Amino acid sequence: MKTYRAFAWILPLGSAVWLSACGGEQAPPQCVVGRGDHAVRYTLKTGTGTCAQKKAEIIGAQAFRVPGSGIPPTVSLKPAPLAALEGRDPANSVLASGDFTTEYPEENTCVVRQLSEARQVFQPDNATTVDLSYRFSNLRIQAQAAIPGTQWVADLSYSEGDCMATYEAVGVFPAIKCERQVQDPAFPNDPTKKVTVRDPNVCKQPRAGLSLDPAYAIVCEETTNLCVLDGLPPARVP
Amino acid sequence: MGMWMPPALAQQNTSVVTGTVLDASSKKPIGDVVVTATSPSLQGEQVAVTDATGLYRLPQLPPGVYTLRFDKESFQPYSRGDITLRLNTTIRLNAELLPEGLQGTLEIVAAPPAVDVGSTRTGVNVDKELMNRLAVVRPGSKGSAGRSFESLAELAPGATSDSYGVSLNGTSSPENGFLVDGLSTNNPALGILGTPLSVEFIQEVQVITGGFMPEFGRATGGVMTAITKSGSNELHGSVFGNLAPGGFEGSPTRVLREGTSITTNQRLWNLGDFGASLGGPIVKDKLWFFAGVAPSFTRRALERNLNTFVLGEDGKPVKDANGFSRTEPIPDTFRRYFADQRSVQYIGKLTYQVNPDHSLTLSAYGTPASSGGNGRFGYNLDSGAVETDNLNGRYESLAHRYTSDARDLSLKLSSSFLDKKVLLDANVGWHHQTDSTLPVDGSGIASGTGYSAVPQFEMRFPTPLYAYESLPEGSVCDPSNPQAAARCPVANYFLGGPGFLLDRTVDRYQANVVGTLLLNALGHHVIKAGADVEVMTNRDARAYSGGVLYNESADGKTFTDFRAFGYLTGPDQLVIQPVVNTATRADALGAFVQDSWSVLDRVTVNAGLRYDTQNIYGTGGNLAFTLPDQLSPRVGFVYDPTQQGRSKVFASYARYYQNAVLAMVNSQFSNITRIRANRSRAPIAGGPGCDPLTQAEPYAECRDPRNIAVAPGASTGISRLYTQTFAINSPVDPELRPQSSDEIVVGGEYEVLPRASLGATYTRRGMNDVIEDMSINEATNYFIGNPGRGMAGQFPEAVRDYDAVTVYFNKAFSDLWLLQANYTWSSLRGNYSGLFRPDNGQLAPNVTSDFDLLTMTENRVGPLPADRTHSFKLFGAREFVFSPKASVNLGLSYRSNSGAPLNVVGAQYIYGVGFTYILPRGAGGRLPWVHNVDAHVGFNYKLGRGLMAALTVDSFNLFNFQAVTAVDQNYTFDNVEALVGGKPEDLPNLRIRGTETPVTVNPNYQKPLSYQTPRSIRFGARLSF
Repeated sequence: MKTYRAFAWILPLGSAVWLSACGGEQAPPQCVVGRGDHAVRYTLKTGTGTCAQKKAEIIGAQAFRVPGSGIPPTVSLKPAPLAALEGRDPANSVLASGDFTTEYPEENTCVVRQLSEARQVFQPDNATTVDLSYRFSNLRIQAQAAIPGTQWVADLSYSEGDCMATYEAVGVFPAIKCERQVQDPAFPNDPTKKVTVRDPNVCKQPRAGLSLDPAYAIVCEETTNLCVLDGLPPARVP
Repeated sequence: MGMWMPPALAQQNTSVVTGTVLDASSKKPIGDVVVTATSPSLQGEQVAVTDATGLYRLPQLPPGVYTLRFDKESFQPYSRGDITLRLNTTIRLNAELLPEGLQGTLEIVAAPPAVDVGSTRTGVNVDKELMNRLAVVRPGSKGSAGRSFESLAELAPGATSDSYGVSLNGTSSPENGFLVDGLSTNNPALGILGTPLSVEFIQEVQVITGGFMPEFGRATGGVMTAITKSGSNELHGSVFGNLAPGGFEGSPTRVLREGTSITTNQRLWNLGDFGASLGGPIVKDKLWFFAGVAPSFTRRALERNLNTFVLGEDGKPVKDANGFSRTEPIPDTFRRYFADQRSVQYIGKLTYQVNPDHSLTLSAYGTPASSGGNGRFGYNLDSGAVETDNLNGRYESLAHRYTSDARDLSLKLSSSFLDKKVLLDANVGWHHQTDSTLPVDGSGIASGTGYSAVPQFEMRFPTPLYAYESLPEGSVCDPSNPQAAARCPVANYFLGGPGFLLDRTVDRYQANVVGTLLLNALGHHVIKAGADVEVMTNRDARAYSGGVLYNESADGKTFTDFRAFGYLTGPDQLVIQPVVNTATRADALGAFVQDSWSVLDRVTVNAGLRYDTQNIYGTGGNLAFTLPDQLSPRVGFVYDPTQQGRSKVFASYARYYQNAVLAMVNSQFSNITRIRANRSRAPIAGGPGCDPLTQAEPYAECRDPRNIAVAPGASTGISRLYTQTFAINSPVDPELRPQSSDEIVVGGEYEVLPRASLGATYTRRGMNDVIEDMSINEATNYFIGNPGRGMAGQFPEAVRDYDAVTVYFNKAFSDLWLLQANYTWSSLRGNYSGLFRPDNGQLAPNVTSDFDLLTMTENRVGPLPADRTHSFKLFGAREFVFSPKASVNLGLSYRSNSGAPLNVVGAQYIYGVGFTYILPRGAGGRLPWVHNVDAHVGFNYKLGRGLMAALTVDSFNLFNFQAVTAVDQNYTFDNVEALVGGKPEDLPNLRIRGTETPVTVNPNYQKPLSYQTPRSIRFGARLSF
């Protein structure tokens, strides 16, 4: 009888082992954005005029996290046109900042609902006033572990003075220019004379610490020569 | 010699004697013969009865020397002695009985058989005879001062030592499993051996290199099972001492290299251990004890000299015939330092025989150790090597105080039921390990005092020696000498505090239960089923002294915060973490069922299945990754053509899974964040500047944010002073699969002489999935995955193909001699070495740099660093008896390997020196053969009353062979791209990456970097009863 008693407790232990095998899903990656310049492609939704001409531009980005705190990190964006004016209007921030709603993605997406306004207002001379304003909202970063790197989409209300437009902004990290230097045909014998030509192949060339995933769907945006995401996140080469 | 005979059930009772009994006159099988086994290893006796086919089986015996008696009415009793049974083996002993009244005698035609007919395992059993009659555990190898059992694995065919232990069958040492008395003693963080235990406390070691059953799990290398000694009814004890004096060390060949202003020669000063052990009864036939203690010590001398370059008329250094700059010693600058290590090993064991069917064993053993501090240098905790090769820095910057402790506690219950037909073994155990790397002044981690508060500076700009050290008066390198800068430049020097500090505690809580059922159904079955649970935890505190490690730039103008724990809470809102704490955990559950089925005494079929699942948790308790559904089928087939236990042919297939280790979880899943900045040496922007040569400890001025230069102009950068790395835990491929390998073994063995068998095996091993960290986008971000699959589909698959043929001859000790001889031909090819990277010694299980970047995977497939095409091993011993009291043992070991493959490497544009394989792996040719002869002489004298004295001399590398064991494989230090599929004749066309500029060839390329360890001699003395 002793024997059967002994086996009687091996069996439940064995069953426990089997049961514990259920599930087995890997943990998703924490919410973050690539630190540095993102290439952002704009699709106009509403508006006309000078403020409704945006095709693509560079936006600096960084996430701030207190390690181990479990607190969803904060994201800051710094559009290049405002960075160029940084310091002209100390009363306003060149950064648009907002908090992720969660530390880990939900439904493969990390969301920042609302970001603060990034704005610079100043008068370069008495006759003119420069007033640029970015209001981002509904920033959604794709967060499938299987697609490493940063692709995102957001709503943007943009204004230049009285001109107001809304865009869909689609960003990818890092920002790479689809251009390269070639010998200037006007000076074929002077190696110091170079000209810049557009080359979409540059987008996928490896560079240390700042490369686009070869699997990303990327196109060269021709008005800015920026390598931008082709389609909405998650956008991958078919 | 002291014999430690364990009581019946307390040991690993896993050996079997089986056979058939025939009527000598009619050659018909006899049933109901009572077969009785006795042995000094057994308390009492074990009995079996033959069945109608004459078959008997005595299972679950402890290893030892046995006598078998066969009794049956109307037959003459027959007894057979001197049957040696090794750990975990099955031998077959057939017998014939003479009917009573029949005249005549039975001829004993041969010694008892020695072939293990029950298993397909490959490897070697190392018992006391082998340990005591050969020179084993070379002084200077890892764990050698305490004569740890690990290096005994080198006796196995196909075994070679590597930086962190012994590599078996082409795997890396951290993949091995170590079981001491049935419980794992691997280091939970790194996989390497956690508790080095002296061979003095060990009864027998089995080195299993392949073909093992599901009862052994979670190891993709080999398995070493060690059985510690136990007490018995007789009191036994020993006192021993061993010393390897440095004065007897052979002269090493000096490595020629480019002259430097600071040189250090290292040599053995002395090394040894001494101790005692005692075992015996507390209550006769009921309760026994064994206890032992063995302190050990190592001292190596570091002889440092300062030198000056010899300048030619052009003011440039004069080159010698080898193209190296000539130097000469500066008089009166010789100084000798010591690297000291002390350790104590202890064991205590109680065995309680509750009744003949149940026993309990409680054992505790451990090895506290320390090194460094008080003017002494220390030893690397993982490799056992002296912490620094060259003393190019201040003592407090280079040296550390290391402590480590391993403690194991285990309780084992062995029970048998139903006339020993059902057995139950249950173990619970706790492996506890601490280690720390601390400042020499005892200031600990992040205490804010002493050297814990001083940052380390790695100086890299060539600077005159006098800037760092005071020199003898009138020296050529005195600042007053205008040539001092040219004659005594120092390009690499460490200043400030001790840099990286760590205080780590790891634990493994484990429990297992194994039930064994002996069954007769179409033959004999030994059915085992078991389950085990293991929880591993790692808690550590890590820090950089002074919170930061500064690197001087090559031009000397800036210092980088190369390593600093910290994070940003907003744009340039810096928080420096003086210390980072991690707390990680891995849970593992395993279960197996296996059957060893022997049919008609001719065939044994072993089949089983093992299931494992592991969950690994990062700091904070969140799941890091899960490795579920590890199914390991294992099948073996053994056929004995002689049916007499004197031969076998066998084949096996097995799948092995890796046990997760916590080191990678600590680094990748603890949200560890680092901060970087660039600081100006000269004062800028009103700041003080950062210059350790003019400022004083703790160099607080460097910390001033005004030293950080901000590039002028507009920027989209959000934090412009500080950059931040590794802000999140590593993403994990959702399709991640656990790491595993497959193995096939085929072989045959035949007993050609009494107790001597000749055999041959073929082994094939290959990797299935491998876990590594990778970056698809050139280090933009990394993830954990399986190279060649899923997210890492663009990476090449990790390959490690091992094929080996071994021919061996083993003669156990009998008739006063023993011999083990084997030859292995093997091929180890691929792009994956294992859990550490031998190319640069990087011990980073599952996160080595092998697959980090797509651009680093070219030319990586070829012969791997552990590949040795030919390997000979010969171990022989002979005892000469001069009188009943005196005898001499002679033991000789010869080992030789053909050379390791060499690569042709250059710098990779992100990872730096050595990471571009310019030509395909192995294109650099091979190192020469390495031969090694070790000798053992032992003089034994019986003093009477059971007291025995022994004096031994072990000489390692007796002839002081000095083969080259490493050469410089850096073809160039320039950034280059791989010449895919290139040949050596393509090298002259090599260009610096992205340019048309030819590379600068390393003048030391293919020149020796190290030679064989010189001869050492160890003297030993022992008194035992």
